[in-house]
Amino acid sequence: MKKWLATLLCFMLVFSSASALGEDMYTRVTARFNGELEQGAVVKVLENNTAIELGYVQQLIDAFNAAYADQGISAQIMDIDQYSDLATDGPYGYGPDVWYQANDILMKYAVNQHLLPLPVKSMECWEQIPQNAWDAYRLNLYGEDFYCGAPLNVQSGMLFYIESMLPDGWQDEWDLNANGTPDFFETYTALYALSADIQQNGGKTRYGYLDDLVDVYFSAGYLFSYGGYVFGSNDTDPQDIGFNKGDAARGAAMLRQWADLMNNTEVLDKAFASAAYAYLAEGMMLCTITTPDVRQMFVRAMVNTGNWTQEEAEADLKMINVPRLPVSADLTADAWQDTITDMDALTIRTTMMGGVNGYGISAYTKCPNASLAFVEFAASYEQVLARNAALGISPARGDAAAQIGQDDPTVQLIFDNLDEGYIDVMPAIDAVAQIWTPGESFLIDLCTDAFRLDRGESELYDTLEKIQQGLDRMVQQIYDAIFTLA
Amino acid sequence: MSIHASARPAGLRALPGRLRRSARSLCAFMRWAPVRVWLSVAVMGLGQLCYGQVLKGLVFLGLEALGLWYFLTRGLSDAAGFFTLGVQQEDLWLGIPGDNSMTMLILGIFALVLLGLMGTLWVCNIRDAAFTAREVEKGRRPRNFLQTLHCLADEKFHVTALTLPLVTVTIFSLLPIAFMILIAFTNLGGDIVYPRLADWSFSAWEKLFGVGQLGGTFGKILSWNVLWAVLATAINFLGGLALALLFNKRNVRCSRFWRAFPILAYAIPGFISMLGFKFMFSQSGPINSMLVDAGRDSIFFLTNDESAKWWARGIGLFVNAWISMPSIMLMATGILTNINPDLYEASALDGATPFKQFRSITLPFVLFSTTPVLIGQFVGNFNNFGIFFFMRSGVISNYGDYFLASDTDLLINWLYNLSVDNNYYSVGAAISLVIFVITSTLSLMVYVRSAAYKQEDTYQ
Repeated sequence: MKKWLATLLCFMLVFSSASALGEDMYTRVTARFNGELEQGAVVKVLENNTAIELGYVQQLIDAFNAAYADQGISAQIMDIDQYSDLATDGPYGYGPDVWYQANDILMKYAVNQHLLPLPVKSMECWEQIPQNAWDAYRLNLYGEDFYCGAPLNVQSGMLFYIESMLPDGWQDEWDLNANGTPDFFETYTALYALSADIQQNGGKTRYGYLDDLVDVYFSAGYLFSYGGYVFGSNDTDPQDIGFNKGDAARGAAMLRQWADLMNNTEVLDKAFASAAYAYLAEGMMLCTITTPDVRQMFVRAMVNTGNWTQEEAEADLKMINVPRLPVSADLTADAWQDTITDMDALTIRTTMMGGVNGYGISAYTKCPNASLAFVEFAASYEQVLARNAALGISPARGDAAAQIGQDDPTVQLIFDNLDEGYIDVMPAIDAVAQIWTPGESFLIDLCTDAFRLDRGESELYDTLEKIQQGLDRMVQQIYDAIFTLA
Repeated sequence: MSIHASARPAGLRALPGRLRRSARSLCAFMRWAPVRVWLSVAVMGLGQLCYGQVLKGLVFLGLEALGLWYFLTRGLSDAAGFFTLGVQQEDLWLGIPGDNSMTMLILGIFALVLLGLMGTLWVCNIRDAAFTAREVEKGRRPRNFLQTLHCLADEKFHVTALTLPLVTVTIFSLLPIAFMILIAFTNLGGDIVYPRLADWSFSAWEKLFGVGQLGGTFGKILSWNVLWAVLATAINFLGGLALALLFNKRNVRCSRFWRAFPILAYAIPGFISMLGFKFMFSQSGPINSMLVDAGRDSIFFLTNDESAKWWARGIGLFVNAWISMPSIMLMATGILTNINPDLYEASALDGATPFKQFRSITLPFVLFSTTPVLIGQFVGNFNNFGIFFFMRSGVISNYGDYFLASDTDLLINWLYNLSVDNNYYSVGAAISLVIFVITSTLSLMVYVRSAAYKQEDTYQ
């Protein structure tokens, strides 16, 4: 009995020590955030260029300065030309105090401690933001999880179209389930059928769906929806690269199908993205996929054509969830009508790659408490609503998403996609920087295949096995890029 | 034995003799040196002070004190840091201070350079004390400070004039070069970046010259790089010369007007032209649009498709010629005005064809004057970063096992991909060294064999 009691006491001692150690580490790491604002501190904020151009950042800074005028701190926009690489410039005292960026960029710096872990559990926004979004900023160090950024908005591919350019009578021909959403925006099979019809028989636009298929960020969804992933162990293990896993090759085969149908070599070039705003406005295509934060660029392009006023363009431009993908992973295997009437059996929800933009605090800041005050202010409910009003972002805060979602269901939709795991957030490890170039190179090669036969060249990806080999090769390139020289 | 000895190079034969003589001189100096010289050996300026050269002695003493203060306060630890590259890793989150390998390397080199300069100053101080001792032995008075200054402005003027530039060049030119070279012998880069500590290592060279993927890519890029440099230099030179000859022809009307066009191309910033050409040859550019409108297939000019390899390389050569030819044309235009027209007249009377005149008169004359410029062009083209960075960055070739490179990348582009995009600093530095060795060797080889070098005195 004494032995058992002694053993029990030992265990209790070990556990209590371990938990005390953990507690101590969290306290030690976040000790700089003691709540005492550094008097006279001016927080340098490096922000998104579009947000600066559209005036939102100045509005945010002004509001912060007014709110904290009596507490002796203020903030200022850091000139974008002063952009500094935290890893190389930070140690010498250059760079921002607070930095707004996508999670993959911020976390690249967090890995080597160039960003401070935030005392998230005492932040007002902690409860309002889903764990998926926080995980985008999670870093395990000293055997414990820390969060090196405060999520602000969710980024993921959304489908953009202009309502007035929908085919005439679509309600009769393309709304079998009578839900008020055109069927061709509900499943990719239907969108493929409509695009083929437009290209063969003409329509209000020259193409149906047109996009740069070689952008890893948007096209990775075809791989993710069939079992592919970026890194294993919840995106923390770069040894396990998953772009070629599951039935990812079947998903990739659909990209080749799209390239074949589009029959336009512009889709092999990422430069297409910058032309897409004008192409949509000028009626070259009915729809395209991009992130919500560039909504205003479409509006601007529409106004530039002279066919819309600002208000008309705002009302006519629509942004909705991307369509569902076919279970068969073949855009022509099913009749498009069947994919609408038997949607659950024949299609799956598309998982898109996404990102969570947010604020991080530099480890080299001289004013951590003032910086934290700024982050809390910018991530507050009111400011997130203001940011949405100015930029059309999709907030990571649940309360803000619910409020905005009353008028704009898309925002709630994006929030739900994140919450339900249909947005595969970019990993929070620096190895993610190595996926883009090999990924894009493979996608160019894959989509170029659709043109090879017509040019008298032999096809390289005409079977699933060859596409799988291409994916394997791409994964090997990513692995080499991460580990060969590390 | 004697045959072997005589077959040895003259330098090697002379070396032991020189060493012997130096050792003998040192022994003789030690036997001869009076106490006051030994005082200067022990403490800089002390001997001079004993000879009554107070100001000079104080200057030496002050410099030694300054040096000692630097080395005692940080120089010694900086020099030691050069060898360790840091022992304590910094923890930015817990606020535990630590070492920065990159900074330690720079400061270490600086400390060693200062140590070298201090050593040189120490030798100068001994030689000065010895000189004064000999003057005193000869019954002359030691030079006072004004006489020393006068001497430095007159017979030792070369020392006065060269000291400052030498120190400046050492600190501002040699130090960064040494830093870059030494980076190649560390494992800095990849995961090993601040705050993690680096170490001395040959890993970059093992990776570069190993039989793995990196070595294979290096070989392919190097061979294309050499071909590119030769072709680009030849095209630019011959094209520029051809334009100059064309506009010099009397039967070309309004030659000044026509000459303005290449100058215009030269005046426009290079990267603007490159981006312009990139757009022209892109999939949505006007050239492909015209091809499609004419019912032809568009061409993969700049994508990473294998069929684009020689298109992209050809476009690179064309764009480079567009940007560089005008400068050669302007230079050649100036040189051509110096050729004596009588030469052409005489050769024409002897029945020389225009091509023969070009080959035997024009080309040798222009080549003679422009060889150093051509070498500069070759080195510039070898390291021509902009062309393929602006025209074709962001993709890697999906065939042929290129490692983080495309089939048009030059070594300098690959170096950028590895060192800037991916932070592989040591491998990048190793590639830089290879580039330096190749370009300097080829440049020197060409230069010493050129007429411009062999007949340097011809036009002096």
